[in-house]
Amino acid sequence: MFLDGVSDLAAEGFWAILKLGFLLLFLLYFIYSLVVVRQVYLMTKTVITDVSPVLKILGIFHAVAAFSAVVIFLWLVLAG
Amino acid sequence: MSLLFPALLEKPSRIRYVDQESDEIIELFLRQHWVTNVPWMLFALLFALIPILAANYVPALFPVITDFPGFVVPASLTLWYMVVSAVVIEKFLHWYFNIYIVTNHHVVDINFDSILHREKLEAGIENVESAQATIAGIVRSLFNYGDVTIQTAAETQNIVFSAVPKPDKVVDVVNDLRRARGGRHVS
Repeated sequence: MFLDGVSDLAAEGFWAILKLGFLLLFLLYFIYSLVVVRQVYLMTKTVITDVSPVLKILGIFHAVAAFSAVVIFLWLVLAG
Repeated sequence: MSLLFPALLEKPSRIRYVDQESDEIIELFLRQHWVTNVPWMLFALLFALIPILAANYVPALFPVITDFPGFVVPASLTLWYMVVSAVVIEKFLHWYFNIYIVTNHHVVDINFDSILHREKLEAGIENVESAQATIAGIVRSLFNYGDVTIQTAAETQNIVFSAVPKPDKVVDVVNDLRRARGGRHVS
């Protein structure tokens, strides 16, 4: 019974660490998406084409999607 | 892809680059041939399909997965597709913004080697000593793309247009412009 208790605690700890790991990776991806936005902005200043505004919008949309992933994951974890 | 994002444009009127002079006209605007994107596109497609193809087999092979908390599978899938999309974005931006420009004044090579590194090489067209096209390999011969090496005066680096479409035409244009500007000896 004691060992079962220890095992349950270990399992809970493991899942908690996994949640933290996922959250960290989602946050890292969000930071990467911000770097992409910045880089697209710099690139479109270097070469100006008709597609430049579309690329900027796609970069922002990508960053919003990455942020949404963080929020949804937090919501899933907190709700679960 | 070649229609949406052309790899060779002649005298594009609606494209400008940083530091372009007021009387400077872009004669050629080049990127690497779209075929150079096929390997990473196939890899991305394969990696995007792996979870879909594996969906039927994973629970049978690893029954323990059904005991995992609810967040594990959706979070893992999201991360998987994030990594795939990061590779796709990085590769696409690398291709899209690695640009070679020939103007009536300059030869310009704009490199985005990685998402955090930008390099711009520029040489005056009058400093061009020779331009040479190289098409080596079956795929390059089939799709008519290759490297154009532009040798410039000693004080500036040589410029290499890598895997550009119609390299012979590029060499012709560079040589014509160089002669028109009274450049050095003809290659």
